[in-house]
Amino acid sequence: MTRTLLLGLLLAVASGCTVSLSPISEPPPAQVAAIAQDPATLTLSKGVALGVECSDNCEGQCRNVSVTSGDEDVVFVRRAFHLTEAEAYDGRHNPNAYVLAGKDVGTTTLTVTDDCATRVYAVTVVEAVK
Amino acid sequence: MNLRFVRAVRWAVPVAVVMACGCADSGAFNQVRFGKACEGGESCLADLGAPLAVGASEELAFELELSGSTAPALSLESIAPDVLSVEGRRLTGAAPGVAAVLVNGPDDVVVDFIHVTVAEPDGARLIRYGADGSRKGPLPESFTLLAGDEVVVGVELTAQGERLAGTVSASWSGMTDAISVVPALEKDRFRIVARQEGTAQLTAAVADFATGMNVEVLP
Repeated sequence: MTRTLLLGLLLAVASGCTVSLSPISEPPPAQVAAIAQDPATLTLSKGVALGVECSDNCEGQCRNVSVTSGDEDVVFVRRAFHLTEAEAYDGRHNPNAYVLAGKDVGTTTLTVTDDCATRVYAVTVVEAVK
Repeated sequence: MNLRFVRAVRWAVPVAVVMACGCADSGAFNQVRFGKACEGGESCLADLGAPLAVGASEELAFELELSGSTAPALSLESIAPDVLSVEGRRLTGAAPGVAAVLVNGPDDVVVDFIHVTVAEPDGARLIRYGADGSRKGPLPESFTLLAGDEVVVGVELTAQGERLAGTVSASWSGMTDAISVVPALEKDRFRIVARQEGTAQLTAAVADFATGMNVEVLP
């Protein structure tokens, strides 16, 4: 299983295929909700949620997406119902939207996979500014 | 994801809902409007407008902003229950910090969310309300009433002089034959009733704080 995943990852990298998560919401003032692609990192304040959507460089819209947390007690993942006026979706429901939330201070990983590629984000949840 | 739910609203677009109060907060996805529940079952959503005090509670009202669809069953969930607990639609501040409140639809799909800040109070003060329920501002430390007059007041917690949201139970002392304090119809307010000539030094105790006023009643 691990070998297959690793092989898929290597093939995706070798073919130049990428998948990524982009923010579709903002953190509250003074709190952190930042996602970067190179290197792939996600930083959240504890208690903060971030809406994200998946995109790739194969079709643009991700197909058969899964977003998985390495530790749901640190960062948890939920599917989101997100209507968008973006042209790509013709003002309709975006099927690739998720909500990520910092449950507790710590580190873990977040893995996003679709038909195009796989990307693993290093996640850090920091204490919220009080 | 619940396909019936998706199909029911897939053609819908967010619409601007004109609220009677016009001051509710939109969620992060602009799909739900949030606010403090108004008294009397009114449909307006008053702005929370301040951090929620530790130990205080607030009933959160929300409305789905999707045209072409009635709202499915929705529930609230706190990301950080150690900071903010949620029971039904009631939010209670537990510790300083921030907590996202998710609005979950069928299959726990997140329809929208809002961040609520919780702050530690360092004081309390009395606030006067108008006959129409509007907030008129802090009550002076001393004032005079005519027999038969009454004033509606509320007790609010503060942090560094700024108002904190949420209601907490208050207990009153210092009533005399001249002045009575009775609960008002609104659950977090009180009526100061001038009954006859005299004076009173009223004190309201709330959480770990006390605040008071001197009242003189003229015939």
